[in-house]
Amino acid sequence: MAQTHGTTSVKMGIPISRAKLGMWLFLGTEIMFFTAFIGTYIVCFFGSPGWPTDTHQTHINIAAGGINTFVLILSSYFVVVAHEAMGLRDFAKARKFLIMTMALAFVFLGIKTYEYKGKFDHNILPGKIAEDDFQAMDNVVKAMKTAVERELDSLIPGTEKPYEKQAALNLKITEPKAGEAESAEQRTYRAWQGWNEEFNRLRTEVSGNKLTLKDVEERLETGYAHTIIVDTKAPVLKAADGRELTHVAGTLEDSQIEAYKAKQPFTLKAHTGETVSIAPDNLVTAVIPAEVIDLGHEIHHPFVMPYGNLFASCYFLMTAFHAIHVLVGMTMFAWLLMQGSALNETWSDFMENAGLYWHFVDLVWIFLFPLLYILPGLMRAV
Amino acid sequence: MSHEPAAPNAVAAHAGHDAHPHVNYFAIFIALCVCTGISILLDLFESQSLRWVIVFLVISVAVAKAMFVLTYFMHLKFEGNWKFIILLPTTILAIGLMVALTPDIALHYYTPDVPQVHQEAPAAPAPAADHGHGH
Repeated sequence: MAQTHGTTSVKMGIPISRAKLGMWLFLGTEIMFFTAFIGTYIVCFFGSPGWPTDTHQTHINIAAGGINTFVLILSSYFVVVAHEAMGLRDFAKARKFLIMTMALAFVFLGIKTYEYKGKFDHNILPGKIAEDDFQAMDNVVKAMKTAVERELDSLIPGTEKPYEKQAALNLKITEPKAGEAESAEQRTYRAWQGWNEEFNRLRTEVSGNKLTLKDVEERLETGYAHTIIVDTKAPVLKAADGRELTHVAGTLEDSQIEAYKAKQPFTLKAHTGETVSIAPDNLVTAVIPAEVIDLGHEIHHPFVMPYGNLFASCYFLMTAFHAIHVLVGMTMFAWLLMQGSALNETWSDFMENAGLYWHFVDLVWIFLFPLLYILPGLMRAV
Repeated sequence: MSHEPAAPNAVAAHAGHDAHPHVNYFAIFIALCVCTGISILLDLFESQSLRWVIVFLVISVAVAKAMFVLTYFMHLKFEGNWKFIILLPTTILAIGLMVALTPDIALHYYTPDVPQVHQEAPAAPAPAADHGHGH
């Protein structure tokens, strides 16, 4: 106050430009904005016993986060250099550093996109994460349904409903003529039928509460490749303990595939555990050859992540709002760059404010990086 | 004490509209990089007993980085006392918000009755099993 008193009587209050004052007041509200998210995250973290901290499970990529931290720090440095150059009326240098800042902002968003893709690919998304065994099994069924229906769409293109397409596909299947090899097309249709059969079986068994998560995991591990599905009325299938079965599915080994092709009897270890002897006259409804359609690899290993959805909400809320701020900062720099050679000292206030904003974006990331990437890993040892 | 280096610049600030105090920005940039390196190194350091010390250090490094950015990149070192008028209320409100949130979620003054906790309780060896899957 004493400083302003002597120098000017016109300019009262805080001795800085109104633009800068406005920006700082705005940044004050921004601090509260992000503290609300960070605070909520911290409180949720400590308030939830079993909060997900395994970075393999949450697909938190510390290297990506670390590189992004470096990228933002470097961009902050470039902004400061650009601002300094503007002060020295070296506008060409300012432009050069602004362009580099823009490039780094794109790099940041690129890495962020890569990280988001990892989350989307593994369904680390709010509302999609299984928090108990039943939800995990449901997720497998859903994933299989998606894969089977997508495959059906590629076999029978069009806008018909899945059951209509399935009927159309069934009509396309013909019995191979004696002595003739099955065409590739026919093999694909049969393979799809096999997958659909497996899907229906899984869905029925999961909804009927007949499987545990471990069963589903085992089934996924053995894989659906070379799965044979035998469904028959007569002659009746017999399990090793003498029980009569009407339906059995199991995974074929190479020798069994040979036997099946040569129309010789063989024993099959069924998915349900029993050993069943398959005669050549048993009705094989489907064989899923891995080389034709392999949907098995698309279905993720089921996992249970208590509080995973809350974690994902916190993660996306914080990082997405941060990314939006990056975009706003980029818009400000783009505005400056659009001035081209007309960039002059009248833009220095704008430049300073853009810089302050950008440093704030950097500041937020400085806290998000340890909180989201580093501390969960440290707390994992609990 | 922050007045001392600011004093010569304060004069300049009044002379020209936009003063540019001389800061070795590159040195600040290097310091920030070193800090980032330290926090990544701390992440690799696994110690059960020193866990809270490491957590404290990681947060301290983040605060140090924030101070570097605020002080030099955002020029707060060279600004007048108005910075306190603007930043103090938001800081108090931000801390107040966290304090206000804490009892809602973090403090269990009742028996937690949520499915996730139920699942955790009987499956004490479950985290060990998770370990296996993670790797």
